[in-house]
This record gives sequence, structure tokens and C-alpha cells, in this order.
Amino acid sequence: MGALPLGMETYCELISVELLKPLDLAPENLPNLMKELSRPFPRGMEIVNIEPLKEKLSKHFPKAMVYRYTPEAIPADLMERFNSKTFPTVTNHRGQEIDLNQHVLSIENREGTLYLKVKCNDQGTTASPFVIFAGILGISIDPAKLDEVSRRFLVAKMTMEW
Amino acid sequence: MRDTRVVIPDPFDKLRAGSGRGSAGGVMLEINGWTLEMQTDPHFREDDEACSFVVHGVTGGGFAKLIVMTILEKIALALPAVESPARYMGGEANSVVKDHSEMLCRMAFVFPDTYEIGMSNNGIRILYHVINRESDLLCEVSFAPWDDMAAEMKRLDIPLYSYATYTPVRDFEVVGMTLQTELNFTNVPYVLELARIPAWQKDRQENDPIVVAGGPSMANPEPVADFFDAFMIGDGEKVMIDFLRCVGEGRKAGLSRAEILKNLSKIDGVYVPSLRPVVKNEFGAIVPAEPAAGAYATTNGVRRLFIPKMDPKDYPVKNLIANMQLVHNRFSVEVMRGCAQGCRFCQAGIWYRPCRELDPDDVLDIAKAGLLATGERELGLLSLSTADYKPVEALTDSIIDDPFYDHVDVSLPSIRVNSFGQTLAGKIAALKGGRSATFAPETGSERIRKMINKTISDQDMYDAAEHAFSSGFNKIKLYTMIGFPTENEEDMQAFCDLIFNLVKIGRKYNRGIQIAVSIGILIPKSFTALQWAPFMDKETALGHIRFVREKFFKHPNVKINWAAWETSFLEAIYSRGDRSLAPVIYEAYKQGIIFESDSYRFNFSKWEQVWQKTGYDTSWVYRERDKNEVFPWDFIHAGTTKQYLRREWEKAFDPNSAPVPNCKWGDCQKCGIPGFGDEIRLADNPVRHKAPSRTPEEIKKLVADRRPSQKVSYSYKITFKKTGLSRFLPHHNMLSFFERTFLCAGNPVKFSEGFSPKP
Ligand code: SF4
Repeated sequence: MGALPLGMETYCELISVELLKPLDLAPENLPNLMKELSRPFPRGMEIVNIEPLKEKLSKHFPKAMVYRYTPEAIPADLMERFNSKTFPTVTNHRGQEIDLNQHVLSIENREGTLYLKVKCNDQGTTASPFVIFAGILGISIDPAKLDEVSRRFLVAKMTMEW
Repeated sequence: MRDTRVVIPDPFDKLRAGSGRGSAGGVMLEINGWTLEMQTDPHFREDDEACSFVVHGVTGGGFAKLIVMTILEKIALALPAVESPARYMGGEANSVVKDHSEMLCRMAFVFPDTYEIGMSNNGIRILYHVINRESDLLCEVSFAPWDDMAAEMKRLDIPLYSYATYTPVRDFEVVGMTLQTELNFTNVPYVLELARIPAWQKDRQENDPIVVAGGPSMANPEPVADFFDAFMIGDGEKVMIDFLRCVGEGRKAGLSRAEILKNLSKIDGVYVPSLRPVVKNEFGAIVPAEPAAGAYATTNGVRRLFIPKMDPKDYPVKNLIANMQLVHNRFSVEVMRGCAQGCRFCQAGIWYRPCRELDPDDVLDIAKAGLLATGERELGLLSLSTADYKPVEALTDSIIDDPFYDHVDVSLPSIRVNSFGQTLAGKIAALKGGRSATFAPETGSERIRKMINKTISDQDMYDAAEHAFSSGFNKIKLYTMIGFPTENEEDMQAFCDLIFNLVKIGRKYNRGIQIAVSIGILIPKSFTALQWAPFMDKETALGHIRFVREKFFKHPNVKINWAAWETSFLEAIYSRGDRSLAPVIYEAYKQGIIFESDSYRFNFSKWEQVWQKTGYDTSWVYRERDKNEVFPWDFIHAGTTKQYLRREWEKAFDPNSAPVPNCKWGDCQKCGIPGFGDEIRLADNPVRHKAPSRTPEEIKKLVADRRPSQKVSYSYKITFKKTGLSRFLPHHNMLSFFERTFLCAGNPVKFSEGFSPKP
């Protein structure tokens, strides 16, 4: 079980719960149930789906994750460098080298907002999206201060691919 | 070279200088939707006082853009830099959001301490509820930010804001505070200046909010009188509404600030310090020129208000759900207000008279509704002495009977020794297993207990301990004090003997029992019989504490904790101080002395520097007061009269005086409260929730039978989003929100597993 970095938005966070009573997940009831269960949450936090769980969550790992970020400016040659695989190799907070050409599976630019699909390792985790975005955009960050950096970039985790 | 002053229409919509050089020639400024063009390459400097920006011109071309940011956007920039962002996120579940433009009057309720303490406070919940149920009134909360957030707020130009809508506190018509302790006093100018409201009442302008305070420290508001426009003295449930309507109507009618304050001063229970003249008494203290005189009904003073009965409709249920762990994570129901045991040192015992109990059926209905609305796991039954609540045993039976409470930890605080009957002790132990009991003998010396009218004998204590330990309790906490007038070494020896005897009793049942003794230092308080008493000097006080500590040094069954004399000394100054303290408090705040309720921050040498710098002589705390002396707080008529308190003071030193009984049970002492006992409201046993009285064995069986087998369970995968400021919610808090939501739904979580593959 990993903790999402503080300051990162997510649209696809998962949690499993074991309850003493069953939930009524009938399609006509589900929207209301999710709304009611989201009521004690702070503004901005909301349940978006509930489904029965057969196996432990940690038995399956995602293959890729999609992150979203809207930079102040997008380098003109971004797609060219992605296609020609000439992104740099950067280091993460542990000093490990990350070859961005291998980690970034796709880039989509939707009106100035970038959607990056990033490869997961066999534990279902990706390299830090902050390091990746900084690397492809040419922004210098101190990977040793990732916690601080991660809070300043408004990166959102959009989906997980299984 | 040219300087251009750019005046910002709304001082709180100040701007953040952005980047973006490029366009040759002109300089462009975008301010609140309008654009200025200049011919120079600028840099920007914020000019706080004038709420304007100065653009310094230098030669050359350039382009600059000023971006107007909302408070919300600025908070998002601030939170990354602070230690505990959940404190400042706002947007709590159950927040009331109303259209500000539709309101007659809006109040920002600023708690002058941290979020964790403020959100645990029941007073704030009550007022939030009673104000927001009125369609034309609004209350939003705010809290004192810790230094790291305050620095960010200064850096990013964020004024103190409300948590429901991120509105500047200064924009509300009324700013309310509750002063729960004098140790929040230095935070008053701190939060006001963070809100950009002049700290001093005299400096406020027509458009500034009316700043009002209430809460327990109103028993002597004089040290902070110059910071506030008004105070509400006593129970606030009803007067709060009249107060806000008076301000709202006044503003609507275009009345001046002075006229509004005058109207406020006519409301029963409202004190407007600027309208009550003060003089110096013969001892140099600043005191009211016209002390309260006469009976409560006809007094010229400001009356301390008390509501005639505890109305279940005034009880909050849908409380704000905090975004982080609090000091007390519990849903609380005030089962009783007022305690008339008559302890002579106790301010609350006078201040909250008469005793009014809430019907136990209402207690149970409110408790269940509140626990479901908030998902709390703990229920607090609040009062000054819950074991004195008349139907306490029947209420406990009803709680035991209802399986709903199987998942709820019910805390019964402030148990009094002589109410701690065998049956109640046994029931609580059977329900919860081995636990600790808390007794407040106040002092170990029977002589002093008699002096302060604490009508417990040593034998009562031994009986209570016998009951508690034989019922399976393994720890007793003793709340005690030193520093009483005439206290001597013999009294301290008696103190030690009591503890030794309690240990002996406990060890008969369990050799590992613990007696945790907490020793405070008496702070003579206003509106008590000991308001004439001196505060004990350091040498004697520490000598008395040392006497006990040395006797129990490394004792396996006894742990002694004691209060710092220095903190108590400061509280002693605050609790009976006068208006001359305000400049001292302001100077202390300017020296960084804030959040004094946090003992880690307390710095006595800094205080000594402040006293020296402001020329404040603290020696008066050691002086016994003159019989006829007028006190700074004497403009208040508390219900109980000064004559009654004086008689109590004199009885304290009369060895032949009879103990004063608890008037709640029908023996009126004619303290001054009108009614002579008719005003007391006692509750009967529950009717709607009546339950059988069970023996401890029956309770154990019932609890065991009801324990779920946990064989069948249902697993679900939940997908959720966390956007906006909720992205600053720490992971462990997030998990606790899931536990909470299923408790609200009446379907507790057996197990949860968060899954967030680490990016
Ligand atoms: S008037 Fe009598 S019964 Fe009422 S609070 Fe005072 S002493 Fe008690």
C-alpha cells in the first residue's frame, strides 16, 4: 500500500473495504449510495465507483498510469523529441536514472494540457511524475526535495491501465 | 524614470507579480479586469499600508502582467510549504454554505487557537448551529494559523479567511471569538492583524467588522477589553442571534459604528467596554466607575445570562467534520450545565449556575443523530460533573442496552468521588473492561478540603478506590492542587498519606495498579470565594510540590505530574488583571509570544522582558485583596452576588462553619440567582429509551452475545477522486474518512486496504 504524494490530485484512487453488511450496488441505487457515502468527505473528495471485490487489491498491478499537467509553456519540439526518442535521462530522489524515452509511453496535448501515459514497473508503480514532467519540459527541480516539488506542481493522476 | 502608483480597488484583491517579458514598448498591467499601459520596464513592490503597488520605472521596454488571484488559489500556493496543510484546507463536510448577498448579518467565528483545538470545542459547534439555522444569518469558522502558515499568508498576501467559502474574515459584519482560556489572549491581536483588522478597538473604522468575544474567560474580559468592541457575557445561544440582528439592522439602516455599539449595549448580557467608564481604585487597579449593584433583576451592571432550560433544539448534530485528527475526536452532548457543589476555588461552579439538566431521552436522541451525522467513534457526555447528573445510572443502562453503542466508546469524564457508587463503577467496568477512573479531591489534606468546601472525606476517597479497584479498574487519576491560603507542610504530609493509603487499597486487588497524581497550582479566579486570595509565591509553591515528589520518587505505583509555576503565575495575572494588561499583551504578541496554550512554546524569560519593557508591575498577584475592594470585573452581575462570595470567603477560614451543600438537591443557599431553587432543572429517568438495570455479570454476557461473529463479510473496491485542496489531505486522514463514512452509514468497516501504487 503506497501513499499518494501530498498535493497530487487523483481521479482514480483505490481502496478496498470489508464490511459487515452488504451494499446495494444495483445500478439505480449506486449513484445515490456513492453520493451518500461521500457526504462526510471534505470538499473535493468523492467516491466515483464501487464494485464487489473478489481478490485482494494488491494481487493485481496496473501496467500504466496517465498523468495530467498544464505547464506555463510547452516546448515547441516536445512531440518531435518524444517521437525521435531524444528525451534526456534524469535522476529521481533516490539517485536512480530514469530514461524518459522508456518510461513515457504516450503524450497527448489537449489545448495546452499534457496527458502522459507512463509505464509501471512489476510492482505497479511509476517513476515520479514530477521528475518526468520536469524532464520532458526542461524544468530544473531538485529531486532530493521531491516532497516540496511534488506539492507545487499541480499534477493529477487520471487513470490506471490494468 | 517614473514611479507609478497603482491603487487597488479592493485592498484584499492585491496582486501577484507574474512574469512574461517580451512585447516591446509598453508595460501592461491587468488589474481587476482593467488594463493600464505604461512605457517602462517595471518591477513591483508591494506597499502594504496604502494597499497599493508602486511600479518603479527603469529605462527600456518590457511587458509585465499582474495576475489577480483568488484566496483559494493563493492558499493552494501556500499549503505546500506548511507542515500540516489539512489544518488550512477548509471545505469541511457539513459546512454550511449560504449566499452571502442574501444575509442580514454574517459572522466569522475565529477561534484564536489551532484548528485541532478549535474544532474540538463544543461552544463553537453550538453557535455555528444556532446561527446557521436562521435563514438570514450566517456563521463561518476560521482558526489561528501556526507560524509557518502565517508566514505564507504574509508572503502571498492572504488575509485570514473563513473555511467554508474562503472569504476574508474582514469582510464579515461581525467577527466573533470564543476565549476558552486566558492563554489565548496574545492570539487575539495576532488573529486580528492577520485578518487586517486593527487590533485596537479605538482604531477601527466605520467599515471594519464589529469584533465580539464570549466564552469562559468572560468572567474577567478586562485584560482584552481594548481589543474588542463588545463581549457577550454568559450563555450565548439566544443573545448571539439578537446581537447579529442588531448589527445587521444597524448596517442596513446606515447607522454609524458608534450608534450600532450603543444599540448593542442595550441588549441584556452585552458588554461594550468603550461605553463603560473606568477609574483607578485605591490600589491602582483600573476598575469600573459603576460596579454592578443590587439584585440580578434590577442591577445596573451587565448581567451574566443563563438560559432557563437546556433546549434540545439548540444542540448541534451535524457538526463540521474535521480534516485531521483533533485533540478530542468525539461527538459530545452537554448533559448538564452548571454545578452547584459550592467549591470555593471553582469559577465554573459560580459562572454556570444554576444547574440545568437535559432530559436523558433527548441526550440519547441527540447522541445517536450526531454520531450518525459525523461518524465519530466516541461519545462524550459533557458537564462539569457528569456523575452528578441525576439520571446518570438510568442513562448508562440505556446506552448499554442499545447495540448501536457497541461500536462507540462512551466517555464519562469528571467523575466525582462521592457519586462514584458501586453499581455505576461496576457497570462501566463490565462494559469497557479494565480502565481508569478519575477523581478530583483537589487536595490531599482534609483540612484544606473543608476550607474550600470540597465535601469529600478521606474515607470517601478510600471507599471510591475500593469500589473502582474491586470492579476491575487498574488506574486512578487524581486531580489536585497546591497553593491554597494557609497551606503548610502538615497539609502536604496529609496529601502523601492519602496517596499511600490509596496505593495500599489498590494493591490488594492488583499489584500493578497506578495512581497518577496531577498537581496544579491554585490560580485565584474572579467570581469565586477565593477571589480575595493571594497567588502563592514560587519558593513556597515549589517547596510543597517537592515535598510530594520526594516521597514518591521512583515509586512503582505512583506517578506525579505537576504544573509549571511560571505558567500558573501568568494565568494568575491574566485571570484578575485589568485593562492595563492590553498593551502588555500586544507587546508580547509583537515579541512572538503566541499560542501560549502550547506548553512547549511557553517562554517565561521572554515574558519577563515584556513586563520590563512595558513597565508592568506583576507583584500585585501576591496581595490579599481588601474586603471592600472594587475588582475590574465588578461591572458584571453573575447572578451570584459579591456579598455571597464574601460570606463564603469568610466561612473558609472559620473552623466552625458547616459545609455548604449542593443546592441542586433542594438546599438553596440564596446565592443571588433569582428563583431560590425554582430555576434548577433536574431530569428524570428516560421514558422513550427506558432500559433494564443490569448487573455487571449480565452486562458482560450481553456484550459477549452481541459481539459480531465476523464470519461473514463483504468486500468492495472503491474508486474515488481527490481534487482541489483535498489533494493536501494526508493519506492516513483519508483512510479514516472511509471508516467514518461507513460508521455514518451504520455499516462499520472490518478491514480496509488503501491502494495507491507509488508514483
Ligand atoms: S439560588 Fe439557591 S438553588 Fe439557585 S443556584 Fe443559588 S444557591 Fe443554588
